Amino acid sequence: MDFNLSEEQRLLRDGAQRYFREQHSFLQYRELIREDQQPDDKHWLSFAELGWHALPVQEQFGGLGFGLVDVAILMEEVGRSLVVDPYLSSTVLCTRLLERAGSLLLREQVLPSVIEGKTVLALAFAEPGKRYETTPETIARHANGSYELHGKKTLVLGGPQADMLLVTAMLDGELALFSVDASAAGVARHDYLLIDRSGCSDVEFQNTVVDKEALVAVGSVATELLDEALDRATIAVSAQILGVMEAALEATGDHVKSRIAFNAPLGKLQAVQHLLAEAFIEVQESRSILYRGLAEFDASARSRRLAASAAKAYIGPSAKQVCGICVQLHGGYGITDEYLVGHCYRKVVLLEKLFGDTFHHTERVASLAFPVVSPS
Amino acid sequence: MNFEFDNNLQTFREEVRDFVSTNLPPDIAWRVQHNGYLGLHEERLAWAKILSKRGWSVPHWPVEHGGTNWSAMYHHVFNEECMKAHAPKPSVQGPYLVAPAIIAVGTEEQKDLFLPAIRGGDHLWCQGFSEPNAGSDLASLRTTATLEGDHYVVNGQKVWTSGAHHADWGFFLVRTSKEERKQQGLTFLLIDMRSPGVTVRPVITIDGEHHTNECFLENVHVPVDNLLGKPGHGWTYAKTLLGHERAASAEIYWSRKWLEAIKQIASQEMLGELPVIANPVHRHKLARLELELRALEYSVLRVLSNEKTNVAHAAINSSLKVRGSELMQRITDVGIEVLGPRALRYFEPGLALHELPDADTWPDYILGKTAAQLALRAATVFGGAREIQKNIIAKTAFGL
Repeated sequence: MDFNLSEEQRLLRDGAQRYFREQHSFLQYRELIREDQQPDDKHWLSFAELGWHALPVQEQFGGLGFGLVDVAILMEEVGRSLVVDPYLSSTVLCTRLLERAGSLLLREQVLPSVIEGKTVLALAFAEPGKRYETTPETIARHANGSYELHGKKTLVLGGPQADMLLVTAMLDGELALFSVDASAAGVARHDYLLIDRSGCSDVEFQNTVVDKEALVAVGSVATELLDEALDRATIAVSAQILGVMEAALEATGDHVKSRIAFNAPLGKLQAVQHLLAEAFIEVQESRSILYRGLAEFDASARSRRLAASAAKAYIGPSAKQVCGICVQLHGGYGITDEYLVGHCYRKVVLLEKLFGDTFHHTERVASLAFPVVSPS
Repeated sequence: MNFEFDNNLQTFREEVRDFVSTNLPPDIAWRVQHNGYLGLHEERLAWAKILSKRGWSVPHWPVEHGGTNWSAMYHHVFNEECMKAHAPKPSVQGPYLVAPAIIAVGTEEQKDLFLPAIRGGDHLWCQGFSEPNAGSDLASLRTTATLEGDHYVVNGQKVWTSGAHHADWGFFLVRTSKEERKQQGLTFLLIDMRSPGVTVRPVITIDGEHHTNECFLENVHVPVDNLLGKPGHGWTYAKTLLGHERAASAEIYWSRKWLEAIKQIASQEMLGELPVIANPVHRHKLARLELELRALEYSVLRVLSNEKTNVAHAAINSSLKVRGSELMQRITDVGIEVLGPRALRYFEPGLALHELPDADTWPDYILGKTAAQLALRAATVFGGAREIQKNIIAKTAFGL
């Protein structure tokens, strides 16, 4: 059991920290998300140059074949820098779905383009009023050797930037996954922003015709594919949240040393020290349960589900507590647009609800970790 | 980062499991399972004797003194399996506190005199540090030791000397001189608890049990041979000793055992038509405890496997203590919550199986649950009070 980063992992982390420090500082990030700014794929293309879109993809498709641990290392930095680009949804989640299923032709066409940063993917699976359930009401009908998709999707992360959508639908009563060109006829997209100013869409499929090639997976294959990829995304978002927490806490440690009130730095007050200590403990424990999630991910399907849900169920509320403390210790400034910590707090409010909120994952932990009781 | 478990670990785990199931006396296991948190000194010693025959009573000591040279994961597995089988938790004062100090700075005579008895489970030790006026502020202690020829004469009073009523020996922190800084005049003495002038008086705690004591020292003669290390260096030895078992204060093995027991109880106790564990409120409380413990178990593994970190060790140690102690409190509290009003019956310590009331009305899993919840209200006080630990984190992790 070795928790130390390998040389390769250290290079990955240091390289990411350097890039973000130089190209995605807090001020640069604020410029990026200004209301009047046009979306810009500069960072997306830089990620390609840095090999980050290739990172998790199998080597047979031109990827680097790195594992979930490496994804987590990078995601922590994505969190620390408040990145709004859809790296998690496109590169981590969608490429995982595509590289394990779908025709070879489809994968050989799409994945290299994704790796180059030229094709952005988004997963359309959530539906209005269904929270985190993955069984869709969207249906796929057979139509002259093709398929016709019909239904409504919501909260499609990275929808506005997506070139290709991966869509869940029921086909002959079974779960199926389709790849759909975002600009295809019958795809009606309504774009909006989430609270962190990241792009999101509602997508309506109105008898959208897709050809046979477009069926990526169906039945139990599709179910397992989706479950596994969503569990990975759950771990990845947990790592991202950890990075956000650390950024907030670091800034706050600095703040209380320099901010003077009643003739002394705030940090001299024991009440302040104790809040920081509590936040510190939460960050330590969050990192531990993330590592546990990484360690137990591969053992079995049950182990994977428990690993992912335990990480998310712990880290989500932990981050809200830590970032809440950080806002508190910044006084009024903590809630302003000008200060980092408010952005961190808002970011973890958002991330806590992605890929299953605390309630969802806590319930999952209970069902996986508790003795099974039969009804009396 | 490599999370692959050693294949030999499973073999070792089975070896430990087999040894314990063969050699742990069932009556001791029963008593441990139905105990609260503290006590059971005789049982601890008995188990230490059994372990010492296998060479497993002091696995963490250097090999030349009887340690096993296990890796961190082996220690972890050993502790897990012992706890699961309801083996008594090892006594801390002898094997884990004073022995490492004797090994580090003791004379050869002291090592020969004291270590075999600790290793063999023959001697119990107690710790004489705290005083009525010196708890968290330990350096303010006032017990004095005056050198008179070939012995010290010790006068003063200690408190929270847990196990002193059973102990053969005690390690005491006493003042031998008045210096500019109060830490500088302190000396570490090893005292035979049967020495004339040593009086141990019980301090009963709210769980109704006699775990701890006051210890009065009136003109106690302590041979100079029982000075550990150098006079005036006692504070350094004490600090090292108290910081020694970095991960032990997290108490993950005890908490895991307790939580597993609570989950079982919650599956059997009914709330209306459903078991307590099916009720969403209790279910989520239990799940939350499961999450905190899962995280803490890995926090301990990170320390045990010497994870390289820029974070000060002192801050990590303190985190483990704060989180570990608060988690014990939360677990024991939910433990009585799932029992409902039956948690309110007082059971005298040391009840034998045949003395138990009717099992339909009073299932034996109730025993010890409330005693533990009451006793562990002090978990955030003993072993370094929580507020001091937070000060340490603020200082060492944030430079405040």
